[in-house]
Amino acid sequence: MSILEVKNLRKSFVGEIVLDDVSFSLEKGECLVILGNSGSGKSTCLRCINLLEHPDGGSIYFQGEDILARGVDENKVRSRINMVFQSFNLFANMTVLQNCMLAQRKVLRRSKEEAKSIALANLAKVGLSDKVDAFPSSLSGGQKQRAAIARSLCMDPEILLFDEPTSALDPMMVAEVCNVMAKLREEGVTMILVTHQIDFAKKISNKTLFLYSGKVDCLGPTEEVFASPSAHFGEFLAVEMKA
Amino acid sequence: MNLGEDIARLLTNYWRQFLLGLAGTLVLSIVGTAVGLLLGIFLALGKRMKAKPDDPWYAKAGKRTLMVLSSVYSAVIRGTPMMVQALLFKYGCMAMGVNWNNILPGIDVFNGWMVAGLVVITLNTTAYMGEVVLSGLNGVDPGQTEGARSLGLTSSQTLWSVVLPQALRNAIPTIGNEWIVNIKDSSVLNVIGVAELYFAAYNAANDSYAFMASYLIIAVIYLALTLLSNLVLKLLGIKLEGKQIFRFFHGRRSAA
Repeated sequence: MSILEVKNLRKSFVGEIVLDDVSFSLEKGECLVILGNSGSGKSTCLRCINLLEHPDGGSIYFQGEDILARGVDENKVRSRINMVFQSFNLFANMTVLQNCMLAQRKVLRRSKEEAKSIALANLAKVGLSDKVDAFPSSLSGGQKQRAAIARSLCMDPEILLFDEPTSALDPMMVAEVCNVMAKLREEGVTMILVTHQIDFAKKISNKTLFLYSGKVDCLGPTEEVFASPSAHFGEFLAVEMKA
Repeated sequence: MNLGEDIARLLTNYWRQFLLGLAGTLVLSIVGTAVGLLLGIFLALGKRMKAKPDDPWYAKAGKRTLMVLSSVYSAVIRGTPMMVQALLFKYGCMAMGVNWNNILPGIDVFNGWMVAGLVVITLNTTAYMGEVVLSGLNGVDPGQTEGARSLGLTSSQTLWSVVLPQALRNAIPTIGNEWIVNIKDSSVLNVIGVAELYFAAYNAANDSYAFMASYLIIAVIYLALTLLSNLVLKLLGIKLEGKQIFRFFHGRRSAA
């Protein structure tokens, strides 16, 4: 059974179709990368999986359960499919450590000691042991994003969603965040990554989905998709590589 | 008679009344602002109530009613002078057979009318604080809510742990302003016999015929109070700024 199965997903905003009949599936331990031009629906697709947006049609099965069905505990789903944002979204009123502890305490009901030790372990993993008591405002962009990743890891998510995690960072910081993601991949974390870092995407993923104006244009193993790109994907690659 | 002599005479003979008046004004402004802020939070939440499409009909109806009631309260209170509200409160209570003077008679400043004054200034401040909190809430980056929700926090956990603390912190200057306004505006409560600073000066003036000196004294006291409050607020702001949390939005790019 696939850990995640997206079937015929449809979403439109005020009459404009953003996702049109998008289907794909993901196995445990896989890394899917979603590529596409701006406005092609990549982020919306992730936001639907995290239930931050509600699709107009289609279904999403997570471990065999339809998470769009009525009566599903959305907060429980969100706590198991976590999202890392382009703009970090660290809680500005809390230290890095508190950021990592809040949801553990409130959602998973872990004890203070347990939450703290898990938070410290994950912050060590992303190399932020010396910043636990810092407020987000005093961190660099790369440090913020690593803190956000640690915050998600603390929830022991089944799937991690990355929504352009490096787009707001300068090249030095892109590297530090990419290193953390590569490490997670080695550990077998299941993830979906939306990015414009084509080289990194090619290296880290085993599956590639290319969206073209809301439709699935290419879908398959990364090597195959890159080896024989469709017309739209070839065009996209040419433009992205030049930039 | 000369002004200097008048002031000296008033301070010798009426210092106790002025001090009690000062205490009254401080109690009114501090309690009114603090409790008003607390109630204002709930007023703001009421005004923000929005029914979700999949709410059952009774939840929809309840939320809409709360939203309308909060908006009406806010409009009525902010649209009428506090002096008029105080009089309506006093005579409204009397019409219902409640005379505040009999509830807690006579002990100096802190009599029944002071309690009535506290109720009026608190209800009045609540309406303004509701607006302050509302704009504070609207000013918090929506990404903060998304970040919290994406981790599985419920909307009320998100509100109380993440959004509201930031909204209140950003609103500290405006909240402080409300306090300073209350220090000055509590003077209108003398119309229902609340013994605050203006009330003390009025009595001293009528007793001694030293009108100019009397009001000059309380003008200086009011000024000292507001300047002092400003200083306290500034120190509070510097203390928070020292934690660097105000600088969070530096260097942010817009989200996709």
